[in-house]
Amino acid sequence: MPETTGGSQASVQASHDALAAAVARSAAAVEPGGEISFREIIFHFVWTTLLVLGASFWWYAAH
Amino acid sequence: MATAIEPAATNEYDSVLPIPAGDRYAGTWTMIWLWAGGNILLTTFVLGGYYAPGIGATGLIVATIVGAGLGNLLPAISGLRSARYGVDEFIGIRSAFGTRGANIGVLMLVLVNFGWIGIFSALAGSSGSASLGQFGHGLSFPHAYTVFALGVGLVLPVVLLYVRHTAVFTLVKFAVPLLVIFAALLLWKQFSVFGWHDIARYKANHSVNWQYAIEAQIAYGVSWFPYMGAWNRFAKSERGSFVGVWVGMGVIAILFALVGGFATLTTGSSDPSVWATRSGLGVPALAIIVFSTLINSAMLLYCSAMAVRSALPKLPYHFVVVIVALPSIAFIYQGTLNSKFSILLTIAGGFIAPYWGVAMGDYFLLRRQRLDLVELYRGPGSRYWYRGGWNLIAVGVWIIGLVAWMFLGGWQSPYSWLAFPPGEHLFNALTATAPVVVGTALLYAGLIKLVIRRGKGTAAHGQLAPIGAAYEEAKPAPVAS
Repeated sequence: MPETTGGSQASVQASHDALAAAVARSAAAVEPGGEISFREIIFHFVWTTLLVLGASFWWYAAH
Repeated sequence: MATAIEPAATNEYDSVLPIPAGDRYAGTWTMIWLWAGGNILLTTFVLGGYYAPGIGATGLIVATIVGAGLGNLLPAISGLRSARYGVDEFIGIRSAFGTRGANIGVLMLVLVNFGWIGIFSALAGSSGSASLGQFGHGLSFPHAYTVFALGVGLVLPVVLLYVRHTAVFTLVKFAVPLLVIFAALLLWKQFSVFGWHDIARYKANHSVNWQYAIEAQIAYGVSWFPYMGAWNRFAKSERGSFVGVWVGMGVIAILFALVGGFATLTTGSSDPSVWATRSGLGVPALAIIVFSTLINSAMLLYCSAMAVRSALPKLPYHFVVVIVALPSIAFIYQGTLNSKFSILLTIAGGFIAPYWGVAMGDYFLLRRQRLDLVELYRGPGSRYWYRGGWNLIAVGVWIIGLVAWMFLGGWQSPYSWLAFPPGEHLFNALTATAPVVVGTALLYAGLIKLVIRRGKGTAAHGQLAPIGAAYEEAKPAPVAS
């Protein structure tokens, strides 16, 4: 698949390079540290899903 | 040690760069007020009214609580990416779709915002002019609809963003607690006038079913996916953003949907302007209309502006704010509330849910929450550039998810050609949005793992070669010292 060519390709590259350089200079100050683990995410997803399923069973049992 | 980004940097890129941890100022309570304010919408009232007659008063309470619990958890999870790395949503999802593929999300957000802001403004116009009538004829004036719709829905939000976009944080801190009190007052008024026994007499008329109610709450929550990054990157911590989104949006989703649902049952109308007229609560109703529209239009316009600037960083911020605001005017004056709302929920479920499902599969299942920040900003040659800036596997899974959602939930849209009876039958067992989010995340992660395990993500396999590079173990993320 052809990409942008000539001058516009150079312009895109220059624009990205400028941004990436700015990010590289500051990367150490960016991340606050991971506080929420994958396990915790799955835990919350599972119990809220079970709540929806439980309520649905209740609804169909009652109607 | 690397130098921190100057917070006062004035080059044209400053607002799309990641925000250093030390410069993020939104604590947990600020995030709760922010996202609570985000969900204080006339449409959140309307949502409860959509399914209340179908499932009755008791069903309304249960479906709203469990649906909002799951529906608002999904954007809370998705928003963790920007909270961790301080990047805008559409920079963060480059890891999944490629640097250019992320622009599909930008386009969806900007187009959907035209509709949402149009709806907010139109509701502000009709409800605001109806509320003025409560104060007596002396306060009503010609073109009140246009003044409320354009003034509160577009002009004031643009002015707010022009002056200082972070003023939204200041506004929500005092306005949102007040609006929550007003909403509780509306709920109390309904109970004091009708009493629970009267309200509980409204049994389900089965005009819509239980799954529709659950689906409506989940799709409404999922419609927030594109907006997470622009604001969560200001959060001091991941947990602050997570709690802010889930608790802030979830509590408001429940409270407002219940108020709207009960009001619909007791007045027989799902139109807030009718409740404003009949409730006799002129000042609280007017305050909710004005502040909720102002806060939300400003939040959404800022997200649009940032999304556009993530794709075109050289465009001036103030110019972009106006450009993304203007097309909403068309939506203020045409279409009914019901048709516009149905179309937007269809777009949220059909287009947005699978797109962010893929992004969540990439970030949580494959990358285990670790990104290479510098590579997110690099152009050609970046590990997230894939092929020509596009990850075609991600785009393909998104399209599969889109088709799957339309098969399951297309019947909810105003277009009869999107109704598939077998899909509707399956919807009654599965709903549509939640399974599509989970399904696309799993399918994408599975396909990528398959490509890598079979050794096709190597230079020897032309089209798939960039996949292997994109999913090499990310460099250990730097931690502030």
